[in-house]
Amino acid sequence: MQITREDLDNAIVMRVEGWIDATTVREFREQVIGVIAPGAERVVLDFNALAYISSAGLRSVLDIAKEIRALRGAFAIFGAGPGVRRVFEISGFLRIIPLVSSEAEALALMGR
Amino acid sequence: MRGQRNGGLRLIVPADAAGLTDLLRAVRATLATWAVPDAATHDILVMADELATNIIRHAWNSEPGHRFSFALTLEQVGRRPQLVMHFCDDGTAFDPTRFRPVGLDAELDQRGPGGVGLALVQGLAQEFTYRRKNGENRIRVCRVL
Repeated sequence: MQITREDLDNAIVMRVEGWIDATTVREFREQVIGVIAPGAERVVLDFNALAYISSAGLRSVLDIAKEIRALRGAFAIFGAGPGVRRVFEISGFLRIIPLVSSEAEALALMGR
Repeated sequence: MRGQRNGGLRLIVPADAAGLTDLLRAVRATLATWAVPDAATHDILVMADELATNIIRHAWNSEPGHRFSFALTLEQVGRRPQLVMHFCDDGTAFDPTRFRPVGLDAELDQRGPGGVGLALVQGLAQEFTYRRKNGENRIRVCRVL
């Protein structure tokens, strides 16, 4: 798994490539939560190149969402493929985490 | 691990992290040789991951040195092909088909971390059956293509 960071005017975009599973979830969680801080509490995850996510990955996404909520920030995910989206749907995560189609839609949710 | 053969994948999997990694790699490779579409591949990998993880963590109460068997086949049932997985372990009796997840509709602040894995299997599988026989847990999961 690889994550690249891009700082935009109104959000930090973290582009995730590869798998988020039991072997990579710790790195994923640390890298994303590591960018969240007061003044940097608007985060977008780019899942266009994410091939796989397990329940372990979902738990980390939940942690990230709660961390951002605690700072009254904004969080969105875009570009998830059908398999990843289905996992979000079954787990009830679509109710609590914005999963949109494009980067433009995700950035529009960041405000400012 | 051992046991890949034409027409399906059959493995004896060490019940540890390395065994899980190797299992998922083998499943992914097998699905690729069958040209299974990406969405179905993701579903099968998630179900294999969650069920294997459940076995590894709970069948022997994290005691090391155990193994379980796994099989993946592509079968034609009527007009539609389906992917069928079998898991078999000799651990503590546990029927994952009876698991009832709670809290999946909770709001973010009330949402807990657990209970998602088996819920995913139940949501992704067209068939998900269990039986206990000869001291073994036997799970069968089907995903229609």
